[in-house]
Amino acid sequence: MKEDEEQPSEEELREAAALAAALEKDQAADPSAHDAPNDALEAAALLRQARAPIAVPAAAEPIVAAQAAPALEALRTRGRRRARLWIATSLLAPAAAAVWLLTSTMTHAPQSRGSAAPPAPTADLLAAQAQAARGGPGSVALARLDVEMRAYRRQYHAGLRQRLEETP
Amino acid sequence: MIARGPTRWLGVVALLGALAGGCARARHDGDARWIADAERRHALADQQLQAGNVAAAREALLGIVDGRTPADLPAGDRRGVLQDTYFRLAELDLKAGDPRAALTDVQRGLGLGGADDLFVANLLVVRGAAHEAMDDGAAAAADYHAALVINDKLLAETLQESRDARPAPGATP
Repeated sequence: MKEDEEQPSEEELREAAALAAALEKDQAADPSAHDAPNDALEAAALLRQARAPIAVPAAAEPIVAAQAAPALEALRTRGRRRARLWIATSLLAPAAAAVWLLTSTMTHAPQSRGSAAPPAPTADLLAAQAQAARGGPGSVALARLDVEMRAYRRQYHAGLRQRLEETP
Repeated sequence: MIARGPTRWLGVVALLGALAGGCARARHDGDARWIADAERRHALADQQLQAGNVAAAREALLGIVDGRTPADLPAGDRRGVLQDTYFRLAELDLKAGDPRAALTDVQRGLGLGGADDLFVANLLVVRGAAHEAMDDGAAAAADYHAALVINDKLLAETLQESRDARPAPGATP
């Protein structure tokens, strides 16, 4: 590297100092700023503007407030409505699911399935029962009723099982 | 973001639905299994009686009434199966010469509920026989009469059904 490139010239040092001063404070108030280059001063002014909040002139404040307030209020209302909607959904969805669960469980429970009417007894079975209900010594009539009941019982159980298996 | 919320809730609802469906299915399977077990035990009792082993037949039947019945089984179905089993147990007690035990079984059966059906009529018949065996003629007559009233009603229904099932005269088959 050359010797003259490493050491800044006096003019370069003055310009750098002026730019630093312009960035630090208002350039117009600084008399030494007159020495600063114009392009550096413009850049400094832009940087200062970017950092500063947007200032509304006092005269324009009522107009801005009149126009911005409804928009801000609408935004807030929309936000509140959305929050209410979410809360309602959060409460209603599980509640609806619970009601549906309960209803579907109850409708598939005994009440809805109901008891099946037993198959109609045959005339022979009823005759055997009537015979047994006449009483008398011995157990012949009861034994006959027992035999008739075996066939009826098989039919009854098979019907019940089939119905319960087929119930969705 | 907006669509994710409702989708999540739909997922929860679907999950709960699947859960409910699964529970209902499991319950129905349990009911059918209980009926199948009762069916098997009655068949076993028939075999044991055929072989002359009354004690084993009784043991098989006791498994139905002493076991746990599915709570959600339709009440009428449960009553029918259990009353029919108590009828058989009471019958076995009578055969064994123990009318008091027969009366106890009948009382348990009738305690499950009343109806004008075959099972209740059978219990009344066997209770009448137990009273008869205990020389209580009046109680026996009352039970036999109550059984015959139901029997008469059932016979009328059976005859009506067979008349309804018969094709009307002149109808083309």
